[in-house]
Amino acid sequence: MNVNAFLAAYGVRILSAALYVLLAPLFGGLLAGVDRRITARMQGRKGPPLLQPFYDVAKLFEKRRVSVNKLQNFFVVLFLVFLVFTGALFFAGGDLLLFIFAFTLAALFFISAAYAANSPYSAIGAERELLQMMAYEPMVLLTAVGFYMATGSFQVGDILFAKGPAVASIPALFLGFCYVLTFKFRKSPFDLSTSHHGHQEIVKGITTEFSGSSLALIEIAHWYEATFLIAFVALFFVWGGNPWSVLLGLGVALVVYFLEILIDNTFARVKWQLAIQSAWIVAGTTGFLNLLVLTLVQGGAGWLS
Amino acid sequence: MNRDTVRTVTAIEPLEALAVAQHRRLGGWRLVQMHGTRVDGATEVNYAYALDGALEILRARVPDGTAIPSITGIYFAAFHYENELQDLFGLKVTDLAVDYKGHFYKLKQTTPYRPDLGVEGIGSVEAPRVPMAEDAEPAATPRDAHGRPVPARIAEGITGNRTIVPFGPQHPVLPEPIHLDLVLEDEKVVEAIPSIGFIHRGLEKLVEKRDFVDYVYVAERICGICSFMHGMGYCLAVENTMGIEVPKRADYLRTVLAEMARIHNHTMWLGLVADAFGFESLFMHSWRVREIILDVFEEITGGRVIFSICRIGGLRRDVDERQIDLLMKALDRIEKELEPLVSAFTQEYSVVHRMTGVGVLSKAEAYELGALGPMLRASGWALDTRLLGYAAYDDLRFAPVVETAGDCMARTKVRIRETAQSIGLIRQAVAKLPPGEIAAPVKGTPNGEFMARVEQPRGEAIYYVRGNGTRFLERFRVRTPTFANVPALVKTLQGCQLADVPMLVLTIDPCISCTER
Amino acid sequence: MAFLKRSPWMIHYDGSSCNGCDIEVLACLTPVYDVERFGIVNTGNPKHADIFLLTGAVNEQNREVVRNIYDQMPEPKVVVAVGICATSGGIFRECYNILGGADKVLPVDVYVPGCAARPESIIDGVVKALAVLEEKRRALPPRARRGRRAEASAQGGNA
Repeated sequence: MNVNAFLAAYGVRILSAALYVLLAPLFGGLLAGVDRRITARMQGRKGPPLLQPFYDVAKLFEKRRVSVNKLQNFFVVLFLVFLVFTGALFFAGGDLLLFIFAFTLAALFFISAAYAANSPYSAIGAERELLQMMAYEPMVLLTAVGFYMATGSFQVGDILFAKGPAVASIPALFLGFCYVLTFKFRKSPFDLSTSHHGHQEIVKGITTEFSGSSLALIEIAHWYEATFLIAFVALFFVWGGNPWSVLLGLGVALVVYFLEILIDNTFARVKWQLAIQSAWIVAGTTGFLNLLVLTLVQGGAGWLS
Repeated sequence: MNRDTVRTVTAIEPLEALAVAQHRRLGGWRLVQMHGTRVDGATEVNYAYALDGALEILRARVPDGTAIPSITGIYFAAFHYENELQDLFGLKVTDLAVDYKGHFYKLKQTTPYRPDLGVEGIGSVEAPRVPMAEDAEPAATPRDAHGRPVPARIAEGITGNRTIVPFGPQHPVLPEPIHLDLVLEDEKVVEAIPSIGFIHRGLEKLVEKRDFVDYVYVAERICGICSFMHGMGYCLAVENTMGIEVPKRADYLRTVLAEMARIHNHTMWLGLVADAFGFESLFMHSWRVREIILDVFEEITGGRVIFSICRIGGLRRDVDERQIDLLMKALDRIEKELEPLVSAFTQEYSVVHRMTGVGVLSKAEAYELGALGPMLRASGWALDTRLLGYAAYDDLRFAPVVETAGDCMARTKVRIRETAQSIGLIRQAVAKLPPGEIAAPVKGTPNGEFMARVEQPRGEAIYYVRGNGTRFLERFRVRTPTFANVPALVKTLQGCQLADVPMLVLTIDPCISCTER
Repeated sequence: MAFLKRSPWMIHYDGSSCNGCDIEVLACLTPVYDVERFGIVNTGNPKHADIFLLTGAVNEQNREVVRNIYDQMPEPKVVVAVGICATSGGIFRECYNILGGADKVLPVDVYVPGCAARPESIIDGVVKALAVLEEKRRALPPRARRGRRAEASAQGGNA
């Protein structure tokens, strides 16, 4: 295969992934800024400047690095690298299953970093993060299966060009996925392992022992994460490669994010037992019912393909 | 003058204390407080018991070098007072249930009331263990890599399947320093070991260096949240010692200000407890409501948290029509703005889930552990010191707010209902506000003693004053409600979930500054 | 660039204050005063903090705690003594268990007067502290916060 043929076949994918790697921090940071503004308004306050998350991260790079050990920083870098890779995989139109595995791996590096710090608060934070993973992973996997059942492919590139929006055939899975998004965005009631505001029994939980540039890297990693999660939500609404459907998807994803902020401000933090139970019940009901109905109605995969 | 007149002082022998405690316990009396006083080369130990309006002080004269028996076997809550006696007076207490061995406060100057004892104090350095239900001491003393003995509680954490999580003194959910070593099995707290003394100042002894009239300012700064009532409690005690009749108008205004302080405290507490279970917006909105009452305080007294308006004999400033009008409008606003918050606290699913059935303190336990204030009333006791009728409470109609469930939700409900009650009391008092003077002249010096009781937002507080005819008091003693509520906290922490710890700590409405003085 | 000024994170510790200044520090976070407007966040975690707000005087038992918190904060950092007690011991100066103001234990950069210090003056003190923070940042060796080698030599220099 010569270079031209390669570019013709993969050019768009590479471009899209490259754009993601470059622009995601911008989008994620802005999203965080908007989030803090809206949260402040909901609490009767004015809130910080829109660009505050960028100031924070830049500030963290200005601080002298104090780390408990070198291993900790190594894991943080791996966490960031794998999150970037996960997102790039998604934006390059890659395999959803691979995407999920890479995503999980990234999360595991984060947990390892917290364990490496060897302080009670970060250790308990790490334990809770593991519990949270147990809570949301089943739902994420079911969602991938749902996409396959709906469109006949695990490839994001194929799902984009399906005959109709996936949400038409897997609406319950969409709702279930939104439910576990609360875990991933670390919003109340499921901000058990760490919370955006530090008033928690385990201080900052999993991020307690990080400071300066490593904390900044974690923050940037979360921006990447937020960006592809938003894109994942949008994927439910995209069909036939239609640019308008992409816009629709993005719009819905932002509405979902707004609802997450609203939920964050109207719930207390729950304990881990309820978090896991509720996430599994939601996954069990929405996931299995949706897949069952889909199987019965269409009698096989690829209804929209 | 108040109805709280049935008070007796009886001299007993030090060893009689046990028998007396047993007898009072059977009679259903509460151990109100214990304190020591230095008199002619001996330490007087005072045991105060209360039953309804009756207050009885039993006084034992303990010569130096003599030990006294602990009454913790009968009243467990006495361990605080007895440890304090060891710390401040160098008095040996035998068979103490939880013995800090003279290191309860970790003082700069050991035994400040007995400077003659020198720097030795009385004890070893090891912190004590709080005995727990299914507790067994390890047989041999564990040693670390250097051969030094490891404290049993730490060793257990290392060898067993347990983690020790230090909670405080600096901790984001704690506005004030208290330290708890939480021994965890996964997320379950099997043991909680409190250590205090991070903000012990020793202000009771400052009374020997400050004129009794000026000391109001120190008394007020026992705590910046209950500041008004601390000032008032001290004034009540001194006024009663000196026989000063406070003008009616001052009594009424004191009542109004005290109830305003209660509103301030309870709305602040609502915010803090919301913060403890991770409900940030509820915290913000509760504190927004709190600012309304602070504005009125500022208008009337000039201060937001420290007021310096109370003085011996009455008040320093009068209140005019415009200020009353502002107060009334503020009350209406608070009532209106509190309504949606109240429904969030009592009905919102995740809040109800977090608070119902958590940290239950039964009616019997609440009495046993000497709990006070909203903590006690949430467990079904209709005990409210305001019923004694100090200040203008005698002329106002109210009944104690009681809940029976004894859990965090019940404590929250008690405080919410008390806020409404305070609003009602202020309206009653303002409607009846008599004209006239706001302060009586202070003549002479205090000679004698008095123990005043005041219902703080957190429960009953005791102010004991003893004068010797000079301008400097011989002894001032304050027993604050949090001091009495700590044993109940330790009890509710046993077996709870780690996630509940901040909430349980907050439901006693801890005021460490009050506790340690 | 001076981003520190735009994103000062604070930590608050109650030395042996009467609570008056503490609740005023907390009041700064709430709707009426809302310090998040200036990017100020109350972290509660020394490792994330740039500004140390200390209320109340220092006593025998908490001097270690205060020192510990300060040592855990990464450079550059500033200390703000809030209220008269943290400044000099205030009304409790003569108490037997009081060592004195915060400067007995820590290098204090800004003193905020008042008993209790008002939220306005606390915010003012924090803003003053930002200028000191910026100075300290400039004084920091430029590569100290990055390279491991530079950090090691900086530590050697301090010792």
